[in-house]
Amino acid sequence: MVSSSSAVVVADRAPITQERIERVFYLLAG
Amino acid sequence: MLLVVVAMGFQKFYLHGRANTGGPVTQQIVPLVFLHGIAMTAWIIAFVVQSSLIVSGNRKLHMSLGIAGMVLAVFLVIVGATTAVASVHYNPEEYKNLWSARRFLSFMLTNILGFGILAAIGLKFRRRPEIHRPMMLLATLFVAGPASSFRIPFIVGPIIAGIHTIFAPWVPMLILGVFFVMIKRLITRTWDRYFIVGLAGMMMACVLQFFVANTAWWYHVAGWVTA
Repeated sequence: MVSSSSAVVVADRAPITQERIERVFYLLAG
Repeated sequence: MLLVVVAMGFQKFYLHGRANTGGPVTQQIVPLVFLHGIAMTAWIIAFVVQSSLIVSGNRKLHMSLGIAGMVLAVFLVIVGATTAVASVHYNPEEYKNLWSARRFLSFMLTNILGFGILAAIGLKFRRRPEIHRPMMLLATLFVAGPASSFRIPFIVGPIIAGIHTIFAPWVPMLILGVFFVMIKRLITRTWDRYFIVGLAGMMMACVLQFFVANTAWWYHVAGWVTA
């Protein structure tokens, strides 16, 4: 029960991926 | 960041409509100079808008606006080259302290040509973000180059004093490029090979321009172009 609710919480948060960091880098550079 | 650099570098133009020296812009080509300034600024703003669309996940609108961006890029190359040639033709005195008008023309034309080539590569690889993104940023770095160089005296002043060559105006722009490479390495923990290759290409173009600008051949060509 505990582990399944934890999984839901993790899924709801958008993970900070390498791709997202890349995108933000180009925005800030501009 | 480049938007801030351009705003600082061209503040006299934005606030008072004046040249970087504080004097009036070349009187015979005022509309052209303003058109050139507005178009260059539009490109930097477009870069920020396009990047923010990608950050927010709006790729479809990004690609639609990209078509307008490419039209703007072609326009920039034409207007940029025309403004450079016309400025040297009508106002060669302004370049006296910048290694003579004809030599400085090679700097301006290399800048706009470099922008055009990088933007074209960026367009060709628009469906490959790992190439498209660095090429577009480097193209924008070329646009911001003049703002980062002789128009920000506190950065370029010591460099010009130390180097005394026509290569000096490139230095702040290339330093900014290296800065981007290092920051990207720091935050992503990987080297961006396409960015590095593109920046290396820019450096080679700058070195080539430095040598060509000092040849008799360029002196004659520039004289013919600006006659």
